Amino acid sequence: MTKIAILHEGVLDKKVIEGLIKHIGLNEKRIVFYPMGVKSNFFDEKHPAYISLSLSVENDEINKVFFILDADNCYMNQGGMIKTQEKLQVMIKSLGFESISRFYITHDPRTEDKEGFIESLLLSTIPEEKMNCIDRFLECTGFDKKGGDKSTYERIYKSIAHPLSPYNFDHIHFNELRTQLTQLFAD
Amino acid sequence: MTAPTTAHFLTDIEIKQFKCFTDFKASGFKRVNLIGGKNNVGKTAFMEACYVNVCAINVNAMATAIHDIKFARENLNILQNLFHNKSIDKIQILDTTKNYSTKSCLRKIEFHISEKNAIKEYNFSIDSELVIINAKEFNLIFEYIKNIKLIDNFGWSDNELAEAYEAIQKHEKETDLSALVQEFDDSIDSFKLIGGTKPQCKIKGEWRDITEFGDGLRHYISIICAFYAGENGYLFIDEIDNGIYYDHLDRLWEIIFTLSKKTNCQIFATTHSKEMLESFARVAKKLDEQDISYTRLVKNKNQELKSITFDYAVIKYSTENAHEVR
Repeated sequence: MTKIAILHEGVLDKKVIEGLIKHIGLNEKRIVFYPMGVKSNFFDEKHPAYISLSLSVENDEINKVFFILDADNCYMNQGGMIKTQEKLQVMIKSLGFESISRFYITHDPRTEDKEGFIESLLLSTIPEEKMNCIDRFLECTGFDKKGGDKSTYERIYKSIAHPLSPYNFDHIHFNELRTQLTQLFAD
Repeated sequence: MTAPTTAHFLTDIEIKQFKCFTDFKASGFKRVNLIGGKNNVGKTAFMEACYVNVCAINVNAMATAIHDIKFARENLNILQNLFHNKSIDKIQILDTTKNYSTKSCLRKIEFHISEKNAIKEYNFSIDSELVIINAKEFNLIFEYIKNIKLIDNFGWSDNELAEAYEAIQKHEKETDLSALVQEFDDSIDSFKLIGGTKPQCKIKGEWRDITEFGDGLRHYISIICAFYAGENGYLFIDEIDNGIYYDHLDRLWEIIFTLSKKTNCQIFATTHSKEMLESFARVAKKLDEQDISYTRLVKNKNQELKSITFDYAVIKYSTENAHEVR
């Protein structure tokens, strides 16, 4: 049985991935989670997670690697989907994981530049009328969507936004991540 | 006062040939090194390879070390043979190791037995200096390096313990040792070597032989004494958790971390116990003891023996995230 390492940022990413894997009906026993804490750790080749993972890959204990991290925003040219993808690909190459890796960069699919994070992806899966309402609320209150506190998004999602519990995995915005995971387990 | 040098520490080893090892490499050793892996993977053999390498400062010391690792494994059989009046031939014991070849940060050594004109020859090589001794002329002279100690799976005999206890006496640490023994078993008032050779514990004013107590106590005392005896040297312990109750593991590691630093003694210990590894990681984190490593021996899908060495940061990360490192 091939073992899959999933590298993620924090607790929420893990919860969502675990939930989605169960929802799809994939074998969760094949997964070993590697929390990276913050996004910048994904680009630190000497991070203990990478050392531990490299040893496990070398030793055939891990056969596939999946990265899931936030796109964040394009502000000051530091984030966004393209920048994050470029930096991640450099890291995957330097780790020597090209042939065994897949990744998904979490973002709000409604944004033109594919910006955002796991929390904004979740918010994007609520019914449209509620979403419009929340968008208006965020705009009116001046909440800085470009650099605001991510946990606020999660709180809004959890407490007022979503009628389904806990996540709306059948939403079209989960399709890309669902495909990635299905292929990861199938390869 | 200058800090003691750690230049003698073994940081890496390449085992070209020895027992189950062929072209095997391991590196990243620190002051305190734990070795793990499944049963029969070669943990003890790996430690033996390291032991012989550090001992091999000359031909006699090298031959003694090669002899001793086999002797340690054959302890029970040798004892039984003696009981049946069968003598032990030290050369015969040495002969069981046909090949040994390692290269470390300290030295490159090789040993093999060959045959020339139907006469056996013993080939010793230390840093490319080759010594060939004809079997007829070979006289194995035991030479022990005083500050390299090995505690095998069977534990130390009274004599070995007595010898190491001398170092405790030299350092005037008898009271400290007794206090540690008391911590281990609060019914014991103190520990002493009566008549210089008989390890005894005092309970309610009466001295009792250590053999009356569990193996764990002897093992525990041996480890503490071995650190003092191995000052500026090395300590090798096979199955470190032998006989030690899980409740004492954290305290044992605290003592090991403290004494290894105090005596500047590098330690290699094997275990297959999950509790021991967890305790090792837990205490290292608590004391912020970073000069540690955990080496796991594994077989890959081609059945080749490999080593995976985790340093402090990786041990901490792996245990915090419940990754299987055993």
